[in-house]
Amino acid sequence: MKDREKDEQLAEHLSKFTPARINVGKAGNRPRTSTWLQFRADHALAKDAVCSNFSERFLNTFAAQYELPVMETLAKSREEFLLNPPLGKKTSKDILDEIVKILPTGWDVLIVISDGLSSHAVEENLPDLYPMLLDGFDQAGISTSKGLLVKQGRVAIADQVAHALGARVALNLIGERPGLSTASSLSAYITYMPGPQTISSDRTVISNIHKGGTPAVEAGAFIVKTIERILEKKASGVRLQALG
Amino acid sequence: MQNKDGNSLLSVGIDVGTTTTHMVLTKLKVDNQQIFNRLPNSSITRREILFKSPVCFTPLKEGCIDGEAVAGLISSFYRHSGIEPHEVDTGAMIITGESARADNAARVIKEITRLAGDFVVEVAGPKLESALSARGSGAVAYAAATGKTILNADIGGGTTNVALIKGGEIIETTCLNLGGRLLRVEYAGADFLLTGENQAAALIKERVLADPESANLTLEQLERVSSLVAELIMDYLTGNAAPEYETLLQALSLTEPPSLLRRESIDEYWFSGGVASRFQTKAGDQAGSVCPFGDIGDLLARAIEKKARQLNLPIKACDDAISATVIGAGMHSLQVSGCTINAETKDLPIKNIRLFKVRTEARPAGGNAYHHWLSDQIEKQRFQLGLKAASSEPQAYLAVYLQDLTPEKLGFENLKQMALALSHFFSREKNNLPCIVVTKEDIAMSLSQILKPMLRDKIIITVDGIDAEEGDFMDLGKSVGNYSDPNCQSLTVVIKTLLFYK
Repeated sequence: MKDREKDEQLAEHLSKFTPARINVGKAGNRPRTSTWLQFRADHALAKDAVCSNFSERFLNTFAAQYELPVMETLAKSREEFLLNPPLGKKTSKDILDEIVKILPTGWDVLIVISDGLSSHAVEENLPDLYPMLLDGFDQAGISTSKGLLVKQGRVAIADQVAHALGARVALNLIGERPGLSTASSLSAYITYMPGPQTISSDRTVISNIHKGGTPAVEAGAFIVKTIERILEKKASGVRLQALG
Repeated sequence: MQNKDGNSLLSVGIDVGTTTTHMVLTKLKVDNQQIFNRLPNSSITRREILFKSPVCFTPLKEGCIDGEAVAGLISSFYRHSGIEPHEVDTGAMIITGESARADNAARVIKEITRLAGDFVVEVAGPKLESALSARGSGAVAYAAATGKTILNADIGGGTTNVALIKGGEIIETTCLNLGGRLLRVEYAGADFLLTGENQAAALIKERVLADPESANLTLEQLERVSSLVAELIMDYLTGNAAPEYETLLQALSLTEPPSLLRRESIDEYWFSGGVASRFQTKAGDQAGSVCPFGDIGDLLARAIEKKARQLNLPIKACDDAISATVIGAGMHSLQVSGCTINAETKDLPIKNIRLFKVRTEARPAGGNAYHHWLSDQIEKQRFQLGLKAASSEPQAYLAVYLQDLTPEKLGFENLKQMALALSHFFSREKNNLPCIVVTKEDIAMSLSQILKPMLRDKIIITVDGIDAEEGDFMDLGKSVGNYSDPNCQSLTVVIKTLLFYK
């Protein structure tokens, strides 16, 4: 084999270990046009994910199929959410009252589905993850409400709503901040007995849910097991970890 | 199965070969790799040799392995090591090459395994040997680190085990029925007296000797035999067989002949095994010292070196070449599963689970057609193996290994279809054995969740993170890995073959 071919083989081998842009060649002392366009395209995908609301298609298919109620936070638009992120952590009293009317209280688990920083992540993973959760909770004898779809939501929003509804556990399935290698990664944040006092260390998190990470179905089964344990131990976050 | 210091396992490798028998004891360290926010995972992070036995001749009695004598050898190895067989957590005992043909091999190996420790598995079969020797020689690790394409040939007494490795993955394993003990000879003054030969010898001798039946051979004749054997081995390895050797090589191949070998794509040729350990040695001054082990191994080593020089091939004998297979058996036979699996400790360990490998489809046909499609594959394999359909044998553990699961096949609907097909199959089994499903992809916990309501009165065991392509049987060990989350556990798994030579 020629030396050049061998070098190419090695470069190809090394590329398998990272999604980073290595082994892309150059044109003079600049990236090749194709590399540059790919970078721009990936960057655009990430930006799109951050800037997008749930698509009509998603609302009309998935959300409609499972009859999921949709809720807004204090951020009334994507722009407002991005310019003033803390607004995504809470919703107004009026909206909360509405939700309390629609969703009965006293469930074991409130499932919240938030766009977070990537509505794509939700649209990509929920169709496989959500039915796993419903089946799993059912088998485990854990009661759960319908999933609540939250627009312009951040992690803490689930705690506020779950507290208002008197749910013992808040589960927030939320789109992660996109990177240049995937814009479809989802996280699950889980809080036991959430409320105004909840802080980050109270939450258990399962992240990196996407095709190249933990498959959505497997994450679903694992979330169910984790919540079973949280309910049994009456703790989440670092307190749960400390129990071993 | 966890040792006192947390997560290390004591593993034994025992190689009963055509010519030699030896043993290694190694410490395998299993560690958690916890990346923040991600599900943890366990893997073997360190392999350390604690004891290595001397290399002894395999005791034979009337052409068969002398089981009692081999057992005696192994007992003495253990005595010297200062480690008791019951302390051993895992490991493999491999009966290789020509020895595996001997009529009593299966019986002997069972007996010795009992002596070697409870969790030690017995393995045999040309393909697995090839894979283990390539791991034991270090060729696989080297290929993984460098991205090179390496061919590893383990030339022992009876056979040459070949593995083609690309980027750290073994992509093809083959085995040729030629080795250093093709002819066994004794120096008798001027000539050599033939004291024994293996099955392949006649095929070689008739090509190069005027009188193939002669029991007296000159050094020159032995060299001619060795030269042809070397040529055949090199032809086999480079995939460039001379036309007149093609049929001969096919007859001598114990597996399908190599199909993927492309000389131009191979960066390095690695050699291991007893014959390779004789590379770069020189014959002594005394007449007769050309065959120090009573066989043509040394002559063959030199003939291969010469042939490689002629072909201008970059060849290399690995360090400690003779031990590649035993090190492979001791250090590389064990796999650690993924951490989100489904298995109850009380159901473990389970040994000798027969693996049925099942191809999966991207879009299952749905309904009954798909059910049958999975059952059909298994029943067909059973038929080929001469096993009864819908097994009612009380101890016939079986597992379904789902092959080629691409990310597109891991959606909820697809998984549910697969689970329906699996439950259709398992519910017809007339026994109360666990339903065991194995995959490489990370779906064990979700698959078990979906299967549970479908197989209510059965025990379900699902294990992922396992590469079972090379094996026919599987042993499930106990839990390893110190996970802080009790929902996470990893099992030690050994994939093996029990196919003895005919």
